[in-house]
Amino acid sequence: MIFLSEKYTETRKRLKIGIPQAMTYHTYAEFIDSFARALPADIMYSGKTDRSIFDKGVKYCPDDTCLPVKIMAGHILSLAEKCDAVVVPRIMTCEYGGLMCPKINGLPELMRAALSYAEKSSLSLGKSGDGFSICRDEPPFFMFSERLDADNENRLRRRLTRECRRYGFSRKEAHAAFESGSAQWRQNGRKRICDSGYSRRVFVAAHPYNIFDEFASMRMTEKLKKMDIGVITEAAVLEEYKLRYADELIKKPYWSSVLSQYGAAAWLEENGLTDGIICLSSFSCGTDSVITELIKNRTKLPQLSLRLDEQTGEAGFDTRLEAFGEVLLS
Amino acid sequence: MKVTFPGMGDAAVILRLLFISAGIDIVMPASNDDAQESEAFREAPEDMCLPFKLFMAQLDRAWKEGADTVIFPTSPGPCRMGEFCEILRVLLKKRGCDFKWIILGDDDGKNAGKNSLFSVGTLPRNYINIFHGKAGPTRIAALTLKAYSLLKELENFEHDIHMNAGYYKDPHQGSVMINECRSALLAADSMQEAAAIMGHFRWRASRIESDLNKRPVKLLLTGEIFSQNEPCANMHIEDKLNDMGVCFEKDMTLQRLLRLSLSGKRRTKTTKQGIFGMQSFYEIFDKKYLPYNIGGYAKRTAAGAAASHDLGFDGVIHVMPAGCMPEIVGRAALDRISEEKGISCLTLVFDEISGEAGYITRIEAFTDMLERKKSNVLSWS
Repeated sequence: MIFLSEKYTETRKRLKIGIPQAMTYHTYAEFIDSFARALPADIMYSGKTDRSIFDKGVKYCPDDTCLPVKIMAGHILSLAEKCDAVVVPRIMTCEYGGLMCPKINGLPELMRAALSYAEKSSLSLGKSGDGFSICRDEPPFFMFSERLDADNENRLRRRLTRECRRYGFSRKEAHAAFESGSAQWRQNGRKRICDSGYSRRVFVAAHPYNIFDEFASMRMTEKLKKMDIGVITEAAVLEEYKLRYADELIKKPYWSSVLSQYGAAAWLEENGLTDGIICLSSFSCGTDSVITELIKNRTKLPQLSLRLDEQTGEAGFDTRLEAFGEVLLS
Repeated sequence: MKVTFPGMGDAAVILRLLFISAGIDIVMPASNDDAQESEAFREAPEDMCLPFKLFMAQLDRAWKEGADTVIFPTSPGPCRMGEFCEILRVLLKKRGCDFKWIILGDDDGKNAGKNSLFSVGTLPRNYINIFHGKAGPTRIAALTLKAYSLLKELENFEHDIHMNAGYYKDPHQGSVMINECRSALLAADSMQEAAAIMGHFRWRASRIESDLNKRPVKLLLTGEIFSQNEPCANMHIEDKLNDMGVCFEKDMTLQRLLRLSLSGKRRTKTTKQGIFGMQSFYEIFDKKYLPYNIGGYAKRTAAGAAASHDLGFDGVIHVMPAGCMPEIVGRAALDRISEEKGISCLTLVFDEISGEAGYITRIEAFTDMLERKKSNVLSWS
């Protein structure tokens, strides 16, 4: 038996796993990184968003989707040629129990549609020659496309283990990976920005995948820093402070992002920790349309609403940022 | 207290009768036909979807007509519809409409993510609050059941006409009959009168001359619930399809919506729903194309479209308002379904544009294509 299992590990092909650095990766980067590194597999990152990724995504992603989903499609298309499996997590609830938006819940379906458009058109994905089909069911090309709930650790571990075993990893390997991932997550948590030492500070109400993607947000934080304006994001505010403000509403919001952005904006304003609010939303985003309205009606601080779409010209964006910066600094 | 509520197709007709019978003063939600001209419609945030804008116009007009309380349904997510009430309240207050809100559904957030549009939660308490001082619990229950059976009667009547319209010698008669029935119900004063009206129209519908030699195209109308049921949000697509001599079935009627969301999953699995026992067919494809509930009834859209070929439909018309989040995913799944199962799908996205010609052309082209496919006149069919 020992001989057999040793032989098995020797001959087993190391799986090449691609991790697209888009959408929920920006929120759960700490966990995903150390989880993947602990697995006995080759990890490949898609890298930062650039022009070619962006163009691919815009071309092949289904219509009506928002910019981050299109960028995600671009990342996956750039990985599809090189990898055996790509991580497309279907995260239904976040770690605090709030829901994610329907497009994140249905991300594997959207990505599958984008891949099949790309396969049909001239873009060759280079895998069909050796009997490898990307749009297959067993094991799926998209890893972790089953339901994941981040609010329950045991359930999450069970789901991730089951998924890993479909790709030939042992239960032990999956558990070890989960432990290292969750240890890292407990230590660092969500990615956040909390600048100090600038003459003014703004709260940027935006999804992590908009603000931390430099291509999508057109290096907004950098530009603000040049104007001597610091940035603070919602992850820098403790969850318990945010939850206090849910009682003001006639109905408790179910989206995690609505509650956290609204609560963070209200708390920061009451404690005088911010001088202005920038709502960075992506066009046709459902949650952002709610957040922007709620914040607009709650605060009395100067507010700038910026909308991201497929347009990549920076001049209009810069003008608005500069005008807002001057309002704050005057 | 003068009550108003957002209108959605036949729901407004039935709710009016329910409240009138209980002796509650109401302001009927205005027709959405000229909502585009209302100021509130234009003031609504641009990112929100069409139903929100229509609700806003309706409620603004109801305030001007003297209403002071809104009954608003809400959902446990994760579609945008559940957050409507909060934003509507704030925006309408800004415009000077300071309503009292009665929220039906999941207002404490305890049931977030459960698989239904409404969830029980605080619903019974809030529902009884509406009738405070007007009717006791027994009367409320009796009236609600009567209203539900009337809704069933009306929708089954409409369903029969939709399914037979293709066989009528004069296809226009179907839509004329439905519209006459609706306006007669709007003029009725009590449930008894409404029941009599329904009987009369049933009799009239059975007398329409039909030609059984015809072979009409049969379509499944699926997609977002509001767009399916509110004639003004889908450019009166029901009347148009009837007038073209097409038979069709609506996937999500109001009674099905109520049953699915109030009775929970266990019940709906055993209940035979729809004329063809659609539910059992739906369960076959429940997990394949869109395995999880992602809000609205996008999962059902995918399952219904996948089952439509086995149910004898020639094609699928998928309707949704622009920017509807669950249906965008549903549409991506539809692409795969139409490829794998060989089903023709037409997606119609409705927004603030009120020009009908573009939609009529698309529907006509689609039905013509299906007709030709059906009668094998093309070389490749």
